Amino acid sequence: MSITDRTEGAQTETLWFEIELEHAPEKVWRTLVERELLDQWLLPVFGLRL
Amino acid sequence: MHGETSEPVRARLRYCHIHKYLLIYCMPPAAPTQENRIFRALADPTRRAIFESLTEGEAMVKDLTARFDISQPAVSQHLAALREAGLVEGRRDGRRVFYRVEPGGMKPLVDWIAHYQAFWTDRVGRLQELLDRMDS
Repeated sequence: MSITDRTEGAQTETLWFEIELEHAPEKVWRTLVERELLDQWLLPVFGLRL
Repeated sequence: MHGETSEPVRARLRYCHIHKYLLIYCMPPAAPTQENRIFRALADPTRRAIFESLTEGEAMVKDLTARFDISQPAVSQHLAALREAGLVEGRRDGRRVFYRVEPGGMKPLVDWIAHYQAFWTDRVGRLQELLDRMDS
C-alpha cells in the first residue's frame, strides 16, 4: 500500500490523496459503497449517496 | 480531536472513483478562528511574499516598500493582517518599528496539517486491515 499526496501546490480547497492497494478492485469498491464497511474504516456514514 | 474544539472530526465522503487507484475527496471541518486568520493572511500572494521576506530578518515598512512594488500604506495594511494572524510582530526602537516573524505564529497551521496527516494515515491503515480481514 502506498499513499501519495496529490494536492496541488496552488490555492485549493481540495485535498487529494492517491492510495494504491494490493487488493482486487471489486473488493476495494465494496469498502467504498457499503455502509457497514465504510463504518469500519472511515467514519460512521449517514445518508450516503454515490 | 482537533485543536481547541472538542467536537469530533466530521468528514464527508463526497465521491469515490476506483480504477487502479482509490481516490477520496473529503471536505475538512470548519477551521477555528485563529486558523482562519492565518489562512486568510497567507492566501494573499503579496502577504506571503512579505512574510517570506521577513523570515530572512526583521525589516521596517520602508524596507519592505523598497523590496516590493507596492505603496507604503499597502505594506502597512499587509503587515497589519499578518500581525492579526499572529504571524509577525513589531519591535519599536525609538521612532522606528521593525517587523519580524513571530516564531510560534505558524504553529496552529502546522497542527492543522499534522491533524489531517494523522487522520488519513490512521484511516487508510484501517482500510488496509479491513481488506486483509475480508481475505480471511
